Amino acid sequence: MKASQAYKKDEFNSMNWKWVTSSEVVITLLDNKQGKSGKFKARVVDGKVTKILEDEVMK
Amino acid sequence: MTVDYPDWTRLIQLIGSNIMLPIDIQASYVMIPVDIQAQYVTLDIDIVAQTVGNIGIDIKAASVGNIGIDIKANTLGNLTIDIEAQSVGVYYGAEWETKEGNDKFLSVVSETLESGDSAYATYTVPAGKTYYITSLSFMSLAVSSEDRDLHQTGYVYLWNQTDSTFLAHLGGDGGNGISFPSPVKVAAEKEVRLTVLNYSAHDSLMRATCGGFVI
Repeated sequence: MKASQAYKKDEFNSMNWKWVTSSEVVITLLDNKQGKSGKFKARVVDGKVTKILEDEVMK
Repeated sequence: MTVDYPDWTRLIQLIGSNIMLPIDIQASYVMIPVDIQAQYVTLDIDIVAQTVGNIGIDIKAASVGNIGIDIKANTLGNLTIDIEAQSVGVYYGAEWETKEGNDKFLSVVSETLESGDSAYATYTVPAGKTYYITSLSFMSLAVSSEDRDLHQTGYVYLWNQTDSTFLAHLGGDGGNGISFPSPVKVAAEKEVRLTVLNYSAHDSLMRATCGGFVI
C-alpha cells in the first residue's frame, strides 16, 4: 500500500508533517499495528492534500 | 385475575462429577447465596432487572480465563474490584488504547520558521470515531548558532478547524509540554489542526506533537 493510501484510509498511528515550502509537505506515517512506515510528498492548500508529488510504499 | 404463587425456599445440594443446572427464575424478589466448589466452573449470568442491589463475586482460583463484565445502567453506585493474582494487567484507558493499537500522534516540523510565521499539521477524525487528545508538546531552537543564547519563544495550539474553536494552548521558551487530566475530545469528521508559531525574533526550528487515541 502506498503511503498516500494509508493516509486516506487512516491506517497509521503517527503522522508527521514536515513543511519543505509554504505549500509542500512531506507526510511521514508510522503504522504500529503492521510495523510499517512510509512517506509521501504532497501539495497542501488550506490543510487539504490537493496533489501527490511523491509516494512511497509502506514497508 | 392475578395469579399469586406461594413463596418457595429450598436448599439445593448437588454432589456429582458432572452437573449441569440451568436455572430460570422469575420473581419479584430473589436471594440466591451460592457456594460453588468445583474443579472446573463455567458460569454465565444474565440479569435483567429494574434494580440490582448488590452483586458480590469472590473468586479464588489458580487460574482465571476471562472475566467479561458489561454493565448498562442509568446509575452505578460503586464498582469495587479487588484483585489478588500472580499476573494481572489493569490499564488506564489511554494505555489500553495504545496497547490495542488505537494511539494517534500528530506532529508538525518546520526546520526554518521565520519570526512570526507558523506551520501546522492537520487531521480529520474518521466517521464513527472520536479523537481523544491526551498530550501536547513543542520545542523551539534557533537555526543560527548566533541566536541560540537568546529567548526561543514559541507558541503551539490545537484548533478545531471545522467548528473554528480553540481546544488548547501552550507557550514557552525553548519548549513545553502538558498532559491533559481530561482528554481533549474531537468528534467524528472534525478537522483538528496542530499549529506552531515562532515568536522569537529570529528563524527557528520548531516541532510540536499532540498524542492521544482514536476509538
